[in-house]
Amino acid sequence: METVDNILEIHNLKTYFFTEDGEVHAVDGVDLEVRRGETLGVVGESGCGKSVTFMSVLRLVGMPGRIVEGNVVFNGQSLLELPESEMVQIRGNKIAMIFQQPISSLNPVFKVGDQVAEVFETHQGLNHEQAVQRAVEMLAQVGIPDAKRRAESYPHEMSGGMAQRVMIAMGLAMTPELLIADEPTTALDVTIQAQILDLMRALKERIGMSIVFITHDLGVVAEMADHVAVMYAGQIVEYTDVGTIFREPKMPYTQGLLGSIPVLGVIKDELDSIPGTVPNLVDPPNACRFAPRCRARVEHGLTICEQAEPQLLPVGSTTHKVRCWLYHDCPSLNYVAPHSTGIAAEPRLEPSATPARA
Amino acid sequence: MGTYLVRRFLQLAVVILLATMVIYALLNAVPGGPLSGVRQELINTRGATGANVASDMARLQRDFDLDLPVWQSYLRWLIGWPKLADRPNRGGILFGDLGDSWQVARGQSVASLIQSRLGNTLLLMTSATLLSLLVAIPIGINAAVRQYSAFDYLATTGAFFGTAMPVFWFGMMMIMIFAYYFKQLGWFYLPTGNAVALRPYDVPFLGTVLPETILDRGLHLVLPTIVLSLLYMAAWSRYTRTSMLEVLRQDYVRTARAKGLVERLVISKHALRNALIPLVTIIALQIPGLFGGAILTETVFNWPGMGRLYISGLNAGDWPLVMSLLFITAVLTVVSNLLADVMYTFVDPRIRLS
Ligand SMILES: Nc1ncnc2c1ncn2[C@@H]1O[C@H](COP(=O)(O)OP(=O)(O)OP(=O)(O)O)[C@@H](O)[C@H]1O
Ligand code: SF4
Ligand SMILES: [Mg+2]
Repeated sequence: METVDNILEIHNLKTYFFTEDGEVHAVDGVDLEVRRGETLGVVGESGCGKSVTFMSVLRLVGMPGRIVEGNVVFNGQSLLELPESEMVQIRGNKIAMIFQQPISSLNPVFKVGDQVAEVFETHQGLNHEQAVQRAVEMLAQVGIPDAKRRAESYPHEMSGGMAQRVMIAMGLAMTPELLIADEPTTALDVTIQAQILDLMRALKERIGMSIVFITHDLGVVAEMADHVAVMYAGQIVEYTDVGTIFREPKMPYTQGLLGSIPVLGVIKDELDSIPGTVPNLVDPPNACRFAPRCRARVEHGLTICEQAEPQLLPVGSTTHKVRCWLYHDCPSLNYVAPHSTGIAAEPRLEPSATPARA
Repeated sequence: MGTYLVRRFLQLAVVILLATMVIYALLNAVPGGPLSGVRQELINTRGATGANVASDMARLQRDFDLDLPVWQSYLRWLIGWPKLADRPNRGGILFGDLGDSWQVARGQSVASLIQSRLGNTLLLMTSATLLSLLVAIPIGINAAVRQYSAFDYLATTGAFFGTAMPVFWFGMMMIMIFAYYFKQLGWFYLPTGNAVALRPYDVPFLGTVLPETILDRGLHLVLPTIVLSLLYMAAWSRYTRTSMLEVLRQDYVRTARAKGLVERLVISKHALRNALIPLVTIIALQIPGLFGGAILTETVFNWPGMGRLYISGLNAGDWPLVMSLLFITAVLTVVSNLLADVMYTFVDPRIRLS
């Protein structure tokens, strides 16, 4: 076994929403790790469960959602078993999360300065005046001009970009060990985006902060991330270091994301559109979630993709992991993969599953 | 804000003017004419062909301007113009002259009638409103925070009970139990009927209660306040619950949790502050009710308040009284609507008057 220092490990995490239409498997068996001092980029189409995964880490998923299974280990401590009184000391302090939609993530009836100050009041026990002063410093640090005056603004008086910086200031306030940034630069223009990324990188270097960077922007991933996790329909489908993901993506979905045929030195800025739609996450079958949209499945004439759920397993000897039947065998169905790595999967099967080849 | 208020005041004036027209039209829409009640009474006491019925009616018609063209009598009622040499001058309702009562207290001014009742109604309505808010808001919040819990179901059931319960039935049950049976059993009981007692009475634990003391008034207030509050509590706890549930789904509540705030603060600071904003409307729109009173509750408890005054006026065909009460309610309603809008700007920084 490799000996790496993981600040965060997610094991078989399942977070479901129990709605009138059925169980929405928003997060359905996610395995991930974030190495200390590194940045993990998380990419995937809208609705694939990126946000819910990391909200689950902080135990912020509310009704009708619930973590039904799995384990989250932060600094060797299992977060899902922690009493709420200890959990509040981790949130905003050791692990901070910056949410999408900055304007609606700020409370409309409080001044933004006070909202940032609240972090210092909560975790450092500063009085309001001291806390506001620290908040103003934080706001200046994330590049808000005239921070003292802007601290007096209400969220609706700010642009999306300004509000996003307030969120970032709030997230960085306690210099957390782990920062989860959920599309933090989407609302910003390019120069400010660059400033924010620089700021994060500087903090990462200076205090050894680890970062989870959720984004749609593969350019940002290439720039920021050390490792990359690709998510599809509530599951991680590929995980590897940033060089490998651009050089040799294995899973057909990842290849699609990167534009089918990756061209060396050319990095696509936006997710390429892949034919078909994101699957319905209500009571999904025990099969590859990507099967209906997968060209490789058709090309190789694979039937197993719709009968058994592929598992996230290594390909080759590296830390490269893929969830795809192109690379793993399935002895119980007498299946041998076209690009077999010699690694076998023991998956959940559809009731109708029959041995593929005799 | 200045120009906004000017515009709103102009709107308000137009609405009140329209309201006076409707109110005055009501007078003339009474079946058998506005004086039918008075005539019936004359006939009852003197017989159909009794002495002077016809001439008395003619005199009353003149006294109340009912023989004038409608526009003249309306304007005299509204602003006291045009002045007519052979008739008494009127001040006009817009300038505070509510006229004299025809029936309920013949010859007495409507203003003095209202004065004698207003205190009782303000007392009952204010205590019921405050009690209801104090109980309903915490219930609503807790029901929302613990949605689908036993507490939530209990609160829901209680609210259905409160809404569905006819006030006259519930009021009478309360009187029977707490005023009648408790007294029979020699237990502590609550006096009912009227707002004060006429003569001293004995209550266990309290001894002799003298009429018109604060204690006497307080004891009389308890039952009607409870009965009336149940109704408001039912509605307002539901309202608070809905509002709170809406707020709890918002992104900023999640942000507050993500900061590491303890749940108690997330609720009491971040969520509550937002959830209470819509309650401003409820509180503002309660203002006309504070003056108008509660008709059913006042009737059941024989409470000498505005609600009962209104009903007596309607029953007796005392139109100056009824029209005055309707007018006051109309003015208070539009004013409290404006007040609600102004209050919003204080509680919600997103709202600016413009
Ligand atoms: N409150 C909820 N009730 C029901 N389903 C929900 C709820 N919240 C999220 N989901 C479902 O969970 C799935 C994952 O949502 P999530 O927000 O994690 O997606 P995402 O990958 O972050 O997408 P995006 O890129 O748009 O932010 C979605 O399909 C969504 O329908
Ligand atoms: S498992 Fe089959 S369907 Fe799924 S990505 Fe691999 S080849 Fe395509
Ligand atoms: Mg998201």
